Amino acid sequence: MLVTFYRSFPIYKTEGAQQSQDMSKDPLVQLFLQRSEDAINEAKQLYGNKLRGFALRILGSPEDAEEIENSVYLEAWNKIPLAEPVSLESYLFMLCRRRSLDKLEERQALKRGGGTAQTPIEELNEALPGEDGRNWAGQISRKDLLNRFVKELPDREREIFLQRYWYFLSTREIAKLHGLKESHVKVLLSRIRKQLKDLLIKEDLWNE
Amino acid sequence: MSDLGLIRDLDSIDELLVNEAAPKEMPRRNSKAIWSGAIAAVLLVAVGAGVWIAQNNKTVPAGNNTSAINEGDDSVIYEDDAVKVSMANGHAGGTVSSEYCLTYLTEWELLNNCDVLLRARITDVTNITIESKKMEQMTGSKFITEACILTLEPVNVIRGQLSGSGPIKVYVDKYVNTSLADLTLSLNNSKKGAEGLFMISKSENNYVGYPTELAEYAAGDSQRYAIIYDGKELLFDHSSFPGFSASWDLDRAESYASTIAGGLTVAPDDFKFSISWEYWGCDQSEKHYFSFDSKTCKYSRVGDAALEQEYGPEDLTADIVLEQDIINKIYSSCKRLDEMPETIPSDTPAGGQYSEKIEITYIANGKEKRVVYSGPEIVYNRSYVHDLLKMTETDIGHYLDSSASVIAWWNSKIK
Repeated sequence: MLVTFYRSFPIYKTEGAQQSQDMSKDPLVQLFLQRSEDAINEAKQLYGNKLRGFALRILGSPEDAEEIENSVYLEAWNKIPLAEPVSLESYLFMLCRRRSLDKLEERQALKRGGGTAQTPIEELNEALPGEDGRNWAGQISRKDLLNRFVKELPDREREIFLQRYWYFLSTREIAKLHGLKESHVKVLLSRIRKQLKDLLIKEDLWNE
Repeated sequence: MSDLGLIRDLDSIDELLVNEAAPKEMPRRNSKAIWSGAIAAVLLVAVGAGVWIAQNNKTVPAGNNTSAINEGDDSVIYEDDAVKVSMANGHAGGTVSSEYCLTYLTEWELLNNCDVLLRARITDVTNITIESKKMEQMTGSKFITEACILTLEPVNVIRGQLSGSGPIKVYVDKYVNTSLADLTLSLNNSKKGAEGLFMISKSENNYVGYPTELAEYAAGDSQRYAIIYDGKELLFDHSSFPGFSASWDLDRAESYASTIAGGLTVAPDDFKFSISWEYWGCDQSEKHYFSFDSKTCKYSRVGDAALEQEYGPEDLTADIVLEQDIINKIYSSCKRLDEMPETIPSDTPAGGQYSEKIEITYIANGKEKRVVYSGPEIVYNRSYVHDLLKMTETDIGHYLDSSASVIAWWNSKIK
């Protein structure tokens, strides 16, 4: 198996064997760490449907969703143990999201129409101008700011925001999860996007 | 720069925050892009001669194949150009005489549009897999889903015709049927022998996964076809049947279903109604107000700027003339308010964060009825009114959301 090196994310601590042992109690992660042949099969059994369903939301194509699911297992196999996620499920979801968005961009699905991800993508980008020609440094600071912004949201608003723009749930689904009116969810999201936009302007990340 | 913008930036969000926001149960999506705008959750298959119109007859020997998709699979129950239905875990097959689908609709539409409303006893629950061979228009791909098979023994036909006798096999698509899957799993374990109300309609095209009239349904809707009594309470999707109460026994549920399944009541000539809905959002600046009076056909709205994207300009006054069909539906909804007190009790009056005040007044057959609710935002499912009245294009839908929520809330409190 080809092991690829990738950039660690701040949430995963990779230094120290002892720390590694203590870090992840997820037995499935252990299977990956031990390079067990059962690792991928077990992951597929447990999370296959969910991952496919998640990719399906973004891409709208069962074939693409299945392809993404399979690529996620391979990527996880390649990246663990360098990356040592606390939870394999959330790690796989993260990979699935990234690869699905990659696929979306490849297909230029924004022009041709993809899954149901198009609306939340367009919604959230209201907080941004269109092509802004921002440079790499600007993108990094925008990500940090976004992370900070999300952390500082009240619990319910944060959940709703992420459920919409990370998990790509519909406003209707979110309303049902939280026992709210759909219109209420839309209002909350609208306000959060406005707060984000104000923050981007304030931090001078709107126009560079 | 990526077209995906901030969506892509969210990749870097702290994993803990993402985990905390993970929905406890990811709603299963019934995507138009996948299902060509419709999913059939249930096939009704009659076992035994003469029960249903025979479409295809095929007897399949029992098999032990746990992989239900392979060609030449001994566990295949039924197969044609459109679909292959297989037993997922090697249970014995049966004789397939015909196929029906259940469409999932609103409480009213479901109970009225079904060909047969049946009170039946569950005699068996088994798992199967359904594979559609038809190419989807939008995706050009096949899909595979899991299903359960319920074998029902008719107890009483509430509506429609059910000739003959004997058990009826019902295939339930677990992938799209979130609530039923949960019910069925619990049925699998301990609920055999339970009775329930089952709504069954004949599919126009006999394909698995393609019922009629589901194009309007957004992703995430549960398949709704059954209300089951487990000996202690009614089990059903509350968003699909807001008028039902979990505390009812099956006799009461059957009685209520019979009333609804009897068809829409025609509003009397003197029927008039007015509704006002005042809502307070997160802070005092988020306040919306809608009102509609059918005597004048005047609709007005005063709302927060945050609603502009969804509802249009902040303030609006318009003339809305309702068609008789809509008036009949509203009348049917209002009739359910007859037993409600004039003032619905609540702990704190409206005016605080996330609260609302709803006033509904209607006149019918010379009698006037008024219902007022003032208190915390009512928890309900909007799809009841959205789907029943199909008024998403007008703001009155949001109004009637409130009346529906009052109805649903009240019905949930009825003992």
